[in-house]
Parts: sequence; structure tokens; C-alpha cells
Amino acid sequence: MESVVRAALVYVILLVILRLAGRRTLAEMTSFDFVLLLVIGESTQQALLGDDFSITTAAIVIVTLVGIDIGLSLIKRDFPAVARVIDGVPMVVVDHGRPLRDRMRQARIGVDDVLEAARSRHGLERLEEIKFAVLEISGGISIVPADDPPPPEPEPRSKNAAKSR
Amino acid sequence: MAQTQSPPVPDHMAFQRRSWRIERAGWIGMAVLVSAALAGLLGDGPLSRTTLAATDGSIEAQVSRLDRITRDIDWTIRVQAAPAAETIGLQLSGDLRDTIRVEDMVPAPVKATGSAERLHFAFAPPPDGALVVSLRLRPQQVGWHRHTIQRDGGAPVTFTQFVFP
Repeated sequence: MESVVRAALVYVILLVILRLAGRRTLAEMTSFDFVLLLVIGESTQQALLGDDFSITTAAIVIVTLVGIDIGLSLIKRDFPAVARVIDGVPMVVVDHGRPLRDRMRQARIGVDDVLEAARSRHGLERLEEIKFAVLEISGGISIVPADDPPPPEPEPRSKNAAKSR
Repeated sequence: MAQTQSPPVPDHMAFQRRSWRIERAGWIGMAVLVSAALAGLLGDGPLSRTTLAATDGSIEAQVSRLDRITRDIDWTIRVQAAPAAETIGLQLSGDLRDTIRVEDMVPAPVKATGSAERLHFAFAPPPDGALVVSLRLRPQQVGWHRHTIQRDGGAPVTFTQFVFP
């Protein structure tokens, strides 16, 4: 009985803490973020198992954690309001080449992050080529490229008039 | 010109529906497992513990019949002293001798011996009331076990225990 209760408590605690940490905390997987994830996992192991080496306990803990996950996914499917609370909402951060700076600041992302996503997903080079950039609930940034090609970069003109033929 | 738009992947909906049915059955199995764990049917819960008494009232033992290997369990044995006894002797025999390790015993016995068949502990009689011994045990072997707990000169308490892997 204790195993089930412990697993449920650890699940809720992790859910609340990671939800409060915000989207970008675990979205960008640098090497450090990866190590941090491992350390978090290690910290919960003691609370879940103690010095109990039995397979039965491990199975109970795993089934409880996965079961709560499945249960929540069903609740989120049927009650979108609950899904918003647990998962968050997607948010537009760039609108037709115009960065929405206040939103980006609160979400702790910069124009560089948006441009990196644009480069890696669509090979886009500049903000003007982006119709919409959306910060998704996963913490990743998705890009909708602009429909028409943007005007080309103006060539630098010399003081003298261009030679004409 | 009419064009048939066929989907990019072949349809395996019958297989998919069967997969979903198996999945849902699996979820029910998981719910059964968690309920069993909460009830103590997998050890550590209300249904795993029981109180047994010797026929002559010399011993009353609160033990657990369902446990998991390498998970600490607590038993409490209440011993009525034989009249005019200088020490109270407690015998643990059967599988209790071999397959369960006694980690801790409170109060500590004044004398402890062990033969191939049984462990014998002699306790000083308490100044007030009956002797209550708290045992902390750690199962070392999976499967069915048969234990006997007995006071010197008293009727035995014999019971079976199942240890989960």
C-alpha cells in the first residue's frame, strides 16, 4: 500500500514543480539539462524504493506512475480546462516578422531562440520570413513560414548614380 | 480528371482496433494491480497482516502473511510468562530459522542461542504486564514459508507466509 501512495505523491510533486518551473526549463536539452534530469530521477528513487529490492515493489511503483499518467491523459481528453492547467497553452511570439517582445520576455525566450528554430526547421534566415512563431506547450518553438518571399535585402548604393545602359 | 487520393500509409484498422482493445484490457489489469497493492494483497497493507494466538493463550502474534523479498517487515509477539519463571523463552522455528533474517529485536534478549532447528531467545520478565517483543525481519527467499513461534512450554503458533519476488 505504501508503494502506491509514495509513487502517487512523487508523481504529483514532480508534476507541480515542473509545471511551476515553466516551459523553457526542460525544453532545451543542453548537456547540463540532461544531467539535471538524471539527478532529479535519482533523487526520487530513494523515496520510492528505499532499500527494497523486490521486483514486486518496482512493478507496483511503475504501474502506479504510468497508470496516473494514463488517467490524467483521459481526464485531459475529456476536460480541456484541466489540460490547460496541467499542460499550459501555446502562445504566438512572432507575428508576421514582428517579435512580441513582452511575451517573449515573460516566457524567457529571445529572438535568437526563434531564429534558431526557424533555421533548423525550415532553413529560414530572417524574422521577415516568418509568418508566425509559436511557443508550444512542450517548450519548443514551431515556425509557420511566410507565404510570399520577403523583399530582397536592398543592395548598398554608391553615391554616384548606378551606371545605366 | 478525377484523382484518387489514397492515404500515405496502408489501412490496418482492424489490427488497430484489436490493439486498442488489448490496451484497454491492460489498463484494467493495471488498475487491478494497483488496487491489490493498496489492499495489501501484494504485501504491506491491511489484508496482509493478521493476529494469531496460541491455543493456551501463551502467545499472541501480530504477523504478516504476505510480504515482498528484501522488504523489512515488523512483527509483534505478546508473550504471557509461565508462572514462577525467571526468564521467558521464545522459540522461532521452521522457515523462520532459515529464510528470514532477524534484523532487530526489541527488547534485546538476555540470551540468544540457535540450533539447526530453532532460534531461542531468553528475555527478562517485564516488571509490568506481559512481555511484548517487536521483531524487524527481512525475507531472504521467495515463495511459501511455514513458521512456528512458541514460548517455552507453551502451545505453538504455526502459520504460512508467501513472499513475493
